[in-house]
Amino acid sequence: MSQDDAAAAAYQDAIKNRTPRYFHASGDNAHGQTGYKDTEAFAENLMVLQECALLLGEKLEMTAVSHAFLYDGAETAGFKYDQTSNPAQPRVVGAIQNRRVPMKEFSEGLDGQMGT
Amino acid sequence: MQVGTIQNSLNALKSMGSVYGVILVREQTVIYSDCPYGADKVKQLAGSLDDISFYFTKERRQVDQVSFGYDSGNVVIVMDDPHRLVLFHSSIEDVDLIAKSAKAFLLDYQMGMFTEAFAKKQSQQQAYDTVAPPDPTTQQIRSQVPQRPGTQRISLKAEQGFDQTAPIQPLLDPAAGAAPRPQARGR
Repeated sequence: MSQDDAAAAAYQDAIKNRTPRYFHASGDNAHGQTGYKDTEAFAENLMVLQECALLLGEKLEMTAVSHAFLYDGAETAGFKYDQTSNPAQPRVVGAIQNRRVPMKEFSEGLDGQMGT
Repeated sequence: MQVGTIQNSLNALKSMGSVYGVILVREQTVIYSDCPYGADKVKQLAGSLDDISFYFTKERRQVDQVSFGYDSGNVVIVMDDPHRLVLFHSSIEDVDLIAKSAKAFLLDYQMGMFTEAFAKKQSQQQAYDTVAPPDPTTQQIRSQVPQRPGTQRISLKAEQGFDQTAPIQPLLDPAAGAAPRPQARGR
């Protein structure tokens, strides 16, 4: 099975079972197990959420963002900074799930992916 | 919706779990604010929220709840255009309960606004109906409007039906020369 086929199978499996698709990002790169297109969708979510968090944080004088989650239709998406990573080059763990899961549960899922 | 009712409901939200601030905005207008930030900051926040909401709408995304975490606290925003309810809380553990209550409030608030607007419109209409004399122009136009052909056909059918059923009528009064009752046929 090629890498693309494996990624497509992993994506289909996650969609079918409505389980989270996890991603990691550091520097300018994002990595995922569910294919390029899905990783690109995560990267876009990450950029938008980060921008929104910084915009609001600026107004509230809170600059250090720790997480950002959203519900978009029937989907839950978001990211969390890995607090154990090097502050000079922070790592981010994120996910997209095609189900509205409680945000606390979503956050705990991301915690489980830290350092993996 | 009564200001007191809004205040009571939002105060109840503020006393939930680790919530320490509440802001209710409509587009860029601040309707209610009870948080550690000054009026200027809250107004700026309302503007930024409007920009964020506009962006999501433009991108055709149906974002109705966003949660942000910072080093000194968390913010959960429940959006139901044109209203946005912002709640500041210190523990991420509470986020779902807070958001659920915020959604219930927003739904109730918007329903209240709708009912109020509907009642106002109705009372205005009633006042107009009572005061306004019949408009002769309207009356004239109404009399010029030809009757719908469908109505006439229905009336004609009814007349034909009456003629056809007329002989049956004496059955109610046999003395008036009733038509013979149909005999039940045996096998």
